[in-house]
Amino acid sequence: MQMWNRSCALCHIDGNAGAPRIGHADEWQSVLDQAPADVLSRVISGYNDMPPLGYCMACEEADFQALIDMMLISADKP
Amino acid sequence: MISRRHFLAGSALASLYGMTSPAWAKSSVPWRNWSGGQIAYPAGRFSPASEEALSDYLSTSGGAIRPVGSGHSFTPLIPTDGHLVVIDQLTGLIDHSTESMSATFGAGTRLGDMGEPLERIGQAMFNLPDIDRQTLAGATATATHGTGISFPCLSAYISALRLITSEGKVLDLEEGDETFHAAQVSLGALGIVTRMTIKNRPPYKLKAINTVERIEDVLTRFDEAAASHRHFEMFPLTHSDYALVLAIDETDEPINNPPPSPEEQAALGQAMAMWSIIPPKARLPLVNGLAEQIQPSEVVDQSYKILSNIRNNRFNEMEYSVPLHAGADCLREILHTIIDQEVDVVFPLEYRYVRRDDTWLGMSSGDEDHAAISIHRTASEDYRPYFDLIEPIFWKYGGRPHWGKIHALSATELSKLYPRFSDFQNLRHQLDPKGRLLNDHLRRILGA
Repeated sequence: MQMWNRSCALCHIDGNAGAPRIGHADEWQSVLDQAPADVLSRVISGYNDMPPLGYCMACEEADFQALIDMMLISADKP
Repeated sequence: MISRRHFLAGSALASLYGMTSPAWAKSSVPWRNWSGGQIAYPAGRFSPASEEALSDYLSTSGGAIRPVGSGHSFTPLIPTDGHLVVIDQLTGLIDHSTESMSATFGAGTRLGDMGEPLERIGQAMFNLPDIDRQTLAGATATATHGTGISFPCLSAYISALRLITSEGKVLDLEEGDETFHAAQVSLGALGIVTRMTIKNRPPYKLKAINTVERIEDVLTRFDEAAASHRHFEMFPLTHSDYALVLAIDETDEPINNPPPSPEEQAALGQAMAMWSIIPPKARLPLVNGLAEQIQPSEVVDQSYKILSNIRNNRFNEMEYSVPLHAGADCLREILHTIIDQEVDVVFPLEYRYVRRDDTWLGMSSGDEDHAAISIHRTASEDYRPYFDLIEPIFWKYGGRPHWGKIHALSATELSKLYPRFSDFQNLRHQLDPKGRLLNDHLRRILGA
């Protein structure tokens, strides 16, 4: 979880830079509408105000996919 | 029924809790900096869990390495086709002294993660740069600074640091050591800094007042305002007579810092978007008209919450420091050039003073204080034509570039700007004789 705390959590808790907030399912719909490969690509390359790599300099592709999927769990909850 | 997404998520959680990438991994993704302007394809990433692990790795491996913090440098300090050394796990408060009012942090600690632990031990940093996402190592390696004629760059507040050389040797340096002032601003070229002790003061609150004033009026009173306020700076609006002005002082007033509404957060961005569709030569009355409607505002909070924050909009930046006496003329020439050349830029500039320091390569090091001037382009725009036009103006006024921000200088020019430059070159060669820490950019700016 340290990896998440030092990267995704920086924006996806408070919604900085318009980031969808973890636990707020309605804010993730536009992410859910994308193909998983596109989501991963945008995390790695940066998208709008989200910086490339999402502040995780140590993450490899599998780490990014795991982090994405973890946050999408909250998007599935009512 | 289990959805594909739930299945993936379950797999993901197992991975997160138990088996994230090993510390020593072959890289599967490119590295990019915060703005996206720099890209590299490292052979691998190494994320040591301890200083011992880092030392062991360095002493038993070979090949090129570059340490990386949070990727906020706009210059190619990091790109390598060797291995990135990520100091993400070397973080947090390690030790502190109430007597000397200092605290030791892991060098991978983000600036934004220092304020609260320091407050809990009765300490606070004297000053901070604008952006709080940078790591302590990255910010100090590039002499990153905050605002204020009484405050030198962040590196100048280091009283001791630990440097692990490219061969794995652990060096503990402190004030008084010959090479200490070189290691304070190391560009990540002397070794990998793993911890540092920062000189602090008791916690305090700050009151920030934002106003809008005519640029020439602000310049006329800038020296007086910089001396009378703890922090004073302005953000000149391009194609305008006006600047956003920020004055910050200590206060005992109660905290009053409500989060800005979405409308307030979006206001400047929306204004910039509106200005951008008007031809530059027709923009001045529109920008002036809107600037005149901006009302003053103020907030009060703990020092670290006022001085440093996140930046939501990604950009590229060029920043030079010029001797204090040349600051106003340099800024005027830049603003006039933007108007005369009809440069299509809406991003405000930044103008502030920074105190001199004793580091070898700090951009305000030496015998005089400096004025720091920044120009910006949003990350999605090509910054080169604008920066190429303005940079010679900085040179004309004796400017020194920020090490982490775009510039075109090489060792030939830089050696004339820093009296200890050749000493730094020699020390770098002594500490990293095989040049493991060099990349193409460092070879160019250090002449290695």
